[in-house]
This record gives sequence, C-alpha cells and structure tokens, in this order.
Amino acid sequence: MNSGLLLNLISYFALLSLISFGGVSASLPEIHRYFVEQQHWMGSEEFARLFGIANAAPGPNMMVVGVLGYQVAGPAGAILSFVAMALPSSILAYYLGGIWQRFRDRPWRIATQAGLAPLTIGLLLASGYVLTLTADHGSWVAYAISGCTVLLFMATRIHPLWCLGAGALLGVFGWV
Amino acid sequence: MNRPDVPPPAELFLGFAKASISGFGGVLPFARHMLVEDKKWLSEQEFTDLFSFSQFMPGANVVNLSVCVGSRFHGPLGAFAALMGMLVPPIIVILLLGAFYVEFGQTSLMQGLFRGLGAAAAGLVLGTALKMGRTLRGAMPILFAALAFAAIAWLRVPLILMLAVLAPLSIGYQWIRPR
Repeated sequence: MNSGLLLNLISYFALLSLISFGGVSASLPEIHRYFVEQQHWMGSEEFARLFGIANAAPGPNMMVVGVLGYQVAGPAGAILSFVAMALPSSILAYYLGGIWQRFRDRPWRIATQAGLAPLTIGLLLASGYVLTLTADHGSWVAYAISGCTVLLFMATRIHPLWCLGAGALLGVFGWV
Repeated sequence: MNRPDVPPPAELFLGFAKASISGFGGVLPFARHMLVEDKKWLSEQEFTDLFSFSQFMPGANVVNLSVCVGSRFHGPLGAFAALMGMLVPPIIVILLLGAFYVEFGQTSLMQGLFRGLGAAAAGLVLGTALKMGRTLRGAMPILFAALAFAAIAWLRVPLILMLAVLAPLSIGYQWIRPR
C-alpha cells in the first residue's frame, strides 16, 4: 500500500476534524473540493454515488469519510480516514466539555457560540446545494427525488429512511 | 462508583454500539432514545445541554456526544469505551460496503440504486439545512450565513479559509452587538 497516500488521507481528515463546524454533512463540499478538484482521486459522479451508499448504511453521518477512504486506498484507507476524522475532534470535545459547561454564562462563550451558528447553517446549506447539483446532474427524475425529499422532510415527520428507500427503488428500476 | 445509575464502561460501549448500528438515516434519534428513555443515563435537560455542546464543536455531533457522556461517568476510560462503541460497528460496515462496492458496484442495477440513494440523501441534507435556516434571526446573522454559503457553494473557497475570515467577524459582531 502506498504510504504517502495514506499519510495524505490521515493528515487531511485530522485537520478537517478540527475545523468541521456543523459536522461532516456540512463539510462535504470541502471534501468534494479536495477529493475531486484538487487531488483528482475520483470524478464528481463517483463522489455522488459513494455519498449515496454511505447514506444507505447504518451509522453516523461520517460514514461517508470511511467509504471515500476505501475507494482511494482500500481497507487501510477506510479505517485510517475514519479514525483520523473522529479522533482529534473527540479529544477536543473531551478536554473542552468541562470548561464549556463551567463558563456557560460568560459573554465570550455566548458570543462564540452565537457567532459560529450562522456559519454552520450557511455551510450546511452549501452542502445541500452542492450535493444536489452533483448527485442529480443531468436527470430530472433525480431532481424530483431530491425536491420531494426536501418537501417531505420539512413538512412532515416522516422517517428519512422512507425517502432513501423510494430513491433507491426508482434507481433500481433504472429511472434515475 | 457502585451507584446503580452509573453504567460501567462495558455498558457504555454496548449502549453506543447498539445506537450506532441502529442508526439508519442518522444516529441521533437512536442515541437520544437510548440515553434518555431506555437506559435513563441522562435526563432530558442533561441530554439537551450535552448535545448542544456536541453540535457546536467540530466533528460528528453524535461522536462528540458519546465522548461527553462517557467522560461524565468514567473520565477517560468511559470516554474511550463510549467512543469505541460509536466507531467500531460503522468501521465494520464500511469495510463490508467497500468490498461490496468494489465487487458489484459497476453493474447498471447498482449504479442506478446508488444514483437514487444519492439524490434522496442530497435532499435530506438540503432539508436539514433549510429547517435550521428558519431559526436564523436578524439581518447580520443572515448575512453571515449567506456569505458562508456563497464562499463554499459558488466561490469554492477552502473551508479553513472561509472560517479564518468569517468566524472572527461573526463572533466579533456577536461580542459588540447591543443586547
């Protein structure tokens, strides 16, 4: 296995782990920028497909990191990418958790939290936008699936799995 | 540490492993059910406090949550047990999925399936973002959200650059704004 490639994945995800405000879903445009546009490890379409698979499996949102790592560098790439993405932020949460609760009423703490909130919302919105354009490119049925999912998700309390199942079914019939 | 309401590390591992592997379409609802309703390790209010911190921190929110819950009961050992519970089952699933994709992923049936899944999953991210966007109040927070969106979606700025510029401005605004 190419150790330079593994080191590249580890250092990228370890840094991303510490700046991924809004979680992994909100960081997907950044991961797309790196994997597709900068490193040319895969095309946009493959990125969208792998994102689709990761969402069909049980597990946290960060599953997609392991699935992408697998595609680039096999099982070792999957495990190392996943751990590199999980560990730094976990260590940070471990050490800051107590401090954060202790200073909950301090103005600097409140300003930090209130200041980062709009940025994470903007990030997540950018993520939804980029993913929709990437995953649905050239197929009006795909746009319709994404659109219906947005409407159902916002207007009802339906479990997200139903939307994924419906999308998968339409895909199996070759209509997407 | 013999109080009945303090779960041993092995219990923390198993509890989070079960929530993690049940988490089709997101682990959060399963983690909440396990912690508050099933095992009763946390009250509703404690859960909300820990979760809002986990959400605000970088990284996956449920992973941060597992670390906070574990460390609350058993310090570093508890944090490690809960974190491993959250991470080990997904790693196994990823290895199975990766092997499956390499073996069968190129058939047209599977390509169609993944395209359909990808379209629905993209809609879920967009829907979540729009739901959260409805909570934004005030012209300046909306402006900062719009700038973050434009920088990432249209200008394709690296995430770290966007944060380096906009985070100090947005936090600074919250600091000086009259309350």
